[in-house]
Amino acid sequence: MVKFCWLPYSILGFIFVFFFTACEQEVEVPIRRVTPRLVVEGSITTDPPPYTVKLMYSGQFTHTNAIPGELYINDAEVILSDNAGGSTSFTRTSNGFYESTDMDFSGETGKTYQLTIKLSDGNTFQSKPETIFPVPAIDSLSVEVDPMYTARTPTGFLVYANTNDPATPGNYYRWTAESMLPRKATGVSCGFYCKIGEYCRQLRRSSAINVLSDQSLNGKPILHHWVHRSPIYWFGRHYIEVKQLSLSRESFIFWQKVDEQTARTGSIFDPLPAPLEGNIYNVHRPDELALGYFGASAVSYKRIVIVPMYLKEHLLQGITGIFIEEGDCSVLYPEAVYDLGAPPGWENEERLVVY
Amino acid sequence: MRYNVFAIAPILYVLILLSVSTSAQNTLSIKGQVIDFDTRLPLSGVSVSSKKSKTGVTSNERGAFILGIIIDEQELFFSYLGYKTFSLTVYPLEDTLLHIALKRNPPDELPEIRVASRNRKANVADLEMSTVTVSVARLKKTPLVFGESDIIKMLSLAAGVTTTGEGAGGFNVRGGNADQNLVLLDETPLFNTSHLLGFYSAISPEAVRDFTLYKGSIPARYGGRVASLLALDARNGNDSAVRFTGTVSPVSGKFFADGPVGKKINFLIGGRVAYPKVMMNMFKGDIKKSNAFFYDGIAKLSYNPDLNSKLSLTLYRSYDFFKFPEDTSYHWQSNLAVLQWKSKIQNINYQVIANYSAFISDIRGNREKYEFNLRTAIDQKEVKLNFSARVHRNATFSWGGSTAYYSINPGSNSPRAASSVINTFAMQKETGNELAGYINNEWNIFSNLAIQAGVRYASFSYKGPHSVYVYEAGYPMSKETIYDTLIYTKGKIIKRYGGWEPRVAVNIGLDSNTSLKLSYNRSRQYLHLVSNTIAITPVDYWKMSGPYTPPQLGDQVAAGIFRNFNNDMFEASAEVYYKKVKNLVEYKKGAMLILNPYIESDLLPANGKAYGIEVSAEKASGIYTGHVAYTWSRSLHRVITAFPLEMVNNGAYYPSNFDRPHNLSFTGRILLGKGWSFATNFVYITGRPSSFPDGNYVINDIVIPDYSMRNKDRLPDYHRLDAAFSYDSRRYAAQKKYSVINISLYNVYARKNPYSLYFKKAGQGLYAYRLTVLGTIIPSITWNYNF
Repeated sequence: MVKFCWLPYSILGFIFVFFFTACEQEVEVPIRRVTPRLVVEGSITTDPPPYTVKLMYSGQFTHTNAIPGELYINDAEVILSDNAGGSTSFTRTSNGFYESTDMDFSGETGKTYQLTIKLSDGNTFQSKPETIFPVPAIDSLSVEVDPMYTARTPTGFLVYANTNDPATPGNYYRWTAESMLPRKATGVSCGFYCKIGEYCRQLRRSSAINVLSDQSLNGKPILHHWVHRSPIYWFGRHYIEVKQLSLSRESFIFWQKVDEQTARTGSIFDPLPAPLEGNIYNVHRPDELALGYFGASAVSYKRIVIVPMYLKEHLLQGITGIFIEEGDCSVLYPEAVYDLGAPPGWENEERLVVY
Repeated sequence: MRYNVFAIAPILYVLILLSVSTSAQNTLSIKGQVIDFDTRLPLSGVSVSSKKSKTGVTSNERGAFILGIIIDEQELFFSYLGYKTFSLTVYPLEDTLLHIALKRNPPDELPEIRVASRNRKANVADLEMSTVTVSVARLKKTPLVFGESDIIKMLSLAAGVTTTGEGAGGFNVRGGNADQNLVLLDETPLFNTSHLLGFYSAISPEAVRDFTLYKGSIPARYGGRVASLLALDARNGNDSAVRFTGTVSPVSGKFFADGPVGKKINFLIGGRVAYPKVMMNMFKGDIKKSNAFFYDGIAKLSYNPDLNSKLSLTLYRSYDFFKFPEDTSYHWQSNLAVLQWKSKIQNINYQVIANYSAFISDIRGNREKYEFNLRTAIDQKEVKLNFSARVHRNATFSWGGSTAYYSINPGSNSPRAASSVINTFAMQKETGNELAGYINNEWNIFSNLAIQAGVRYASFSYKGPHSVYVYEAGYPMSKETIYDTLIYTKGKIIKRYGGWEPRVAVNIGLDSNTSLKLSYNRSRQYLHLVSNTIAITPVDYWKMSGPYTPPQLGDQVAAGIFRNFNNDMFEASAEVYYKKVKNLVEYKKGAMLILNPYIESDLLPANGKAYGIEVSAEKASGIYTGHVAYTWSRSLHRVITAFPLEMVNNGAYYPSNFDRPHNLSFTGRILLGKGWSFATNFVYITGRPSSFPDGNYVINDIVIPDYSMRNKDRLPDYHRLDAAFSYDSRRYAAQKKYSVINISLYNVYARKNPYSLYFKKAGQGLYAYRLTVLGTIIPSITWNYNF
């Protein structure tokens, strides 16, 4: 909320000099070593299967690139069951990732789901039953241009959702979004007058934790709610998909706390550091909790194609150099593919021209 | 003379009037009058002499003198105790009339300050222990941050008093929470003591008299907080003439006026207006986009119909506004009114007090379509009666009672614009009342044994209208375990708490310079500040003791040796204390505090214990004065719950947020002469406990810290040196026109003392940052002018 970074700046005043700093500075703090704990991430939604569950142990790392491979759990048995007697097993697909196998087992609004994880060390963890609550449709999306840029982030499109909260109290929302946006690299030579890997379309997911409770606006429209920022690296269309998910009260609190605990400012407004309690417990010792949360959500979608017209020079700071890297774009940029046309399935989506 | 170090030629006011009268032979007489330079009053007993004539006389009660001298060039000397000796060369040819004005010596310490500071013997002789007494005059000459002298910053230099950090509100006494301090202004509690989110205290030092902080043995007539009592009294207007004082500092302007209205009435009025925005504009970045403003004002009118009686009315208000670059702004205000009547019937002194105190905090969201105003508030209305009588030559008996009515709005949210989608939502208001009575006897049994024994009984009722949720037993309280709602009508008592609060103090004189003091103190606290942050913020709100929130119960024992040395020139003391507090308010992991109708289900009771030893020594008079204090102390908390999942640190004692074992402070002052003095402070204190992650994990592609243990780590130690030069142009206490200039350096060696060390996500990583609030040397200058 508060960014108290008061940069040093001095002026020669009347007869005295002010020199005031309040600044944050990055420091190294070793992570205390404790026993690794099970971390579960996953959810069932009203989307068609498969559903994904990620299993790993907590450890000592500070960046997602630096996760030691041995923290991933690859030999667990994962089962998802509902309150109507149905269930599906999961199979491991990659390091720590498991996918549901029964393609007829899909999330339904009103049903209750429970995840069971049997670890090879004999411990069994289970999630508390989680119900899929209904979610309203997204009315519309709107787009604004964000002219702010830094050396690391170019200008971008800000995407906002509009929806209507139903009259019943106790609705909790989460939004996620992804965009496919144009990228450019220098490309690599493939012979005389031949260059490949110059233009790509990159998939960007919003990593923000975006949750809302209707506590203060029950029954009212949710207007102009920010959901995504799609950076402008190069000319071209942005294909945006926004998901609106329903949450249970418990999972809303969980996600809100995740946000609170990771978006600190160091100021007096920071809540005290506290462990995040999820809904997964050890069946044999109910007081032993795993980290993470297994959720259940109904989903509504909205797509929009942003067609930028006459992109002004100042919005394309990136184009003049720093965001065009040397090499093949599909190799340089994660989740980028060579393509310039509309992605499959997007041909008939709503278009929004942005000037 | 030491003043010659800085001697500049004294500017003397001399008026010589010559008058003609003939005389016989070669002698003549010089007549004249000697007056005080400043007061213009005649000085009697001034010695007037001439070396050459070998004559000398003293002035009479009208300051007049006649000195016979021979006709020659003469050097006349005028000397008087406490005044500068004045010499004058004359070559009188006839009888001469002289008017001489003598200037006072610059005093070591201004008489006002000497009068105000307590009797030096008191350290040993008084029953009081565990107290900190602050002289306002001295406070104004200590080093300052941005030129603001500040009550709480001054207190934090004393043993056993700490603050969370720079720019954080409130203070912590002997490891207690900030809401455990009873801060009284003219016998009326103040619920907020912060300006500018905590950078400054809410009361200007100019508004108050010298004050005392009771860290332990709180007098029986006061109650309601378990850690300390800070008793501030608004200054009375002076009875001689209307006086003004104005102060300009880089962040604020202050103006106070006081004086008599007729013979029996006097007044004090004044306040401070701060313009921190001017300073904030000097910085780059976000702070420039922030905005802040605050003011406080006080008015006191006293009527003294006779020597023993006094009627006074005090009004106080403070207001704060702070806006961040984002859409949120904070507005908070305190309003206070007190009517006091003091008089005497035969041998019984009595006092009647009626007061009102309110604190309102508004948080405003200014985002389009979501404009809201979230208000929390507390107010108190109270009537107190105090009696005291000297029942024996050596014994004073006092008794009294009070009744207070409290009302709390724990949060109400409303839209601020017609187009806002925000719904109106209000938490249930809380009401309660407190009835208290006390008796106290102070008895000097023998010349070397004095006892003060008192007891207070307070009863608190939590009252309707209110709906109380009933939670299923055997499960952790949560919204899901509610099985019934009890509805109480207006005035109906929902829950009553109460109990005896004994207060005992003993002073055993070991010899004329040494005493042993012992004290025991119990108090109950019925109001709690709900805050999930370390420092006080505008988001915090008050909560009453109710069916699920029992009162905090504090017990403290202390013992100390007090000794004066060198004819009371040095005062020293060593105290040990042990304190136990029950029913502290702690929070469940993941507690939601704002607008939570089931707030009780997110609170947990905790027990606390604190103990320590405080050693201090002071030299209060002379050219060099100073104070050194060292404290070793611990403050530990432990959450009490039957449910392992709710336990913090597995149910063991853990360091509270205010556990800072080593605390050394030094304050020194040197009088340089000519009204100049130099003051310096040094503070060293163990870093505040903090929670660092013990393992990280990934969810949603972001690294999340796992804080499984609370307060297992610590921030780096805090230390700081400040220095200040101040100049006081006064030469005597009653002088009307004078200036006080303070030139300060805060944090002389620019240490980057961290306020916090925290972890936050950046991209897909988690990084640790250190936040320093005042991480550099801060010079400032303040000019105070009195007329």
